[in-house]
Amino acid sequence: MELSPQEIDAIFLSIKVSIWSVVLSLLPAVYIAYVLSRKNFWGRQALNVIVHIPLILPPVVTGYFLLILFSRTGLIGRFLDTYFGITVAFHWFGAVLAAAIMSFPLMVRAFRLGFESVDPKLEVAAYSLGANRFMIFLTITLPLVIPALITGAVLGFAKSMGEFGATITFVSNIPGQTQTVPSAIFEFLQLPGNNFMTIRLVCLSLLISIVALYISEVLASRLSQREHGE
Amino acid sequence: MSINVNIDKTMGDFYLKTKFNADIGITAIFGPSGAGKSTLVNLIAGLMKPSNGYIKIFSELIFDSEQKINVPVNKRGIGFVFQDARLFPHMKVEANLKYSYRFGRRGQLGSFSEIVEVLNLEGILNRLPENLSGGEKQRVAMGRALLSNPKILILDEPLASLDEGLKAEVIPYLEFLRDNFNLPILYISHSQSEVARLSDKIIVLEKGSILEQGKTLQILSSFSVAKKLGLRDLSSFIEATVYNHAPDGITELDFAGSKLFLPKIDTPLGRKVRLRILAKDITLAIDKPQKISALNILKGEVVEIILGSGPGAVIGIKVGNHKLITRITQRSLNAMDLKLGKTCFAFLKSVSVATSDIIV
Repeated sequence: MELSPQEIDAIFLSIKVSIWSVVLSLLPAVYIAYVLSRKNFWGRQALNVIVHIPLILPPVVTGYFLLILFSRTGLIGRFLDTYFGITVAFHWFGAVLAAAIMSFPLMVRAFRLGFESVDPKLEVAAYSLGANRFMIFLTITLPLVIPALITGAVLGFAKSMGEFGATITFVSNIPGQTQTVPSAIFEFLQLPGNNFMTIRLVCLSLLISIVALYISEVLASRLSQREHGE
Repeated sequence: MSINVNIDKTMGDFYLKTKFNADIGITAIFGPSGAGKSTLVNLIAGLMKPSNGYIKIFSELIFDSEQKINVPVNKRGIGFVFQDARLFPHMKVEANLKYSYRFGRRGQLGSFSEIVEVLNLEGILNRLPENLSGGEKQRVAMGRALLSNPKILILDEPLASLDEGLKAEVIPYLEFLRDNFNLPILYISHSQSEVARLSDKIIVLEKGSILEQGKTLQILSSFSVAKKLGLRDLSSFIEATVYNHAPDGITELDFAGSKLFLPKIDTPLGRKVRLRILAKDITLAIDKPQKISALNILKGEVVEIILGSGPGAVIGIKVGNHKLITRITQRSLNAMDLKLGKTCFAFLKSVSVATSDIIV
């Protein structure tokens, strides 16, 4: 009944990758969502399309592009290898990169909906009361989008937990190194006689997702209560 | 003058050009929707940039196209009360009121407790905006603007989204604001009765330019303004003082030395009220009518005769310092041989002045 070391590795790696993925995308996603919802600038539509590309591209294709860019001979990979001695491809951090890119559009969309639900007229009112643009963001816009930020972050976490196509293309499926839960399920499915392990992992990933969702709900309601009780 | 504005702005095919001064007290900016009221407010607030000109508040230039001065919104020191109140939904009333304190803008118009007291906000300080009535929201918005140490106030249609009952609840606070703080207030509105009640000076905007400016009651009673704005009912706006509530249910008022009798109104003796009298409710006579049911008979002098394109004519009658306007037919005009300078009697049934037209 005990989990095998391979399964435990896969679970911890998936959680680690997903947390890093969210942490890494959070600020850029907030910034891009804010800019897309509030500012009108040249190239706005282009930025919007670029952000959404991973959503419409087959994940394998995204993984392939990552491989081309980040492999030791790739454009960015060569640079990282030569100057920093870092190789991302076939490394757990590569899985983070793949998950972050795949979940980025989802996070931006969720955040953007949040920003769009904040009435810009409130920002004007704050402006007239003496707040500068940064303080308006900090005291009005941000507190009002926090529930959307939490929702977006959980969405990003869940997407990262489930990311498979780009990850397996980019960092392969090396047990203990780059094997996430979905990759492990995939491997077990390939071999006969692993039904029990497959179902166990499937249930576990289900559980992790539900717990994450629950925590986010609790957090969001606490925050909105504290906000209201201030 | 505390506010000097001389600006123009081109936006697509809309062109706004205004030049006016405003002083302490309420100056109404009046006009139909689309006249450019909001644009004008946005330009003064700094949310839009004028194409040319200058804006001065207490001799400080906050905008000047020639000297390239453009003080940002948060440094202009203009207190705003918006039609939709715009309270911050995530802050309680108290935090809303003190919002400007975070930026070092603390009111010199009154301490927190003083402002809270005059606006009657003690009971709701711990509430969230979502739990306030429309009238309460507007009072909080007023308080928040007053506490931000404004040099001037701009009230942008503050009553427009309230129903009649709530309007009546908020208006006395606006009057208090006007009478007790030495503040220049720009009051944006498209409601005749609001501006007639609250403002002494009026600027009438139409299609981006100033049609007329001057004393509110005079301008509102002007035929040319009413015609250009397409106001439905031509009316005179007058001010009278309550001096007696008679036991038979009639309130007696002093109007330019003449007596005016109206159905009972709930206004204390000695208070001034403003009345709106529809032009079609006034009848004219050359001789003082005897034994007539109309109670109000006012002696005046014909000062204006405007012939309409149809069978009608508009006659202006000067009573004391006020002008009454009335609409009669050209046939009556000829029959009565009315001429400028001629003395005549205007009479009006007491019940013609509906309670809604007594704008206190």
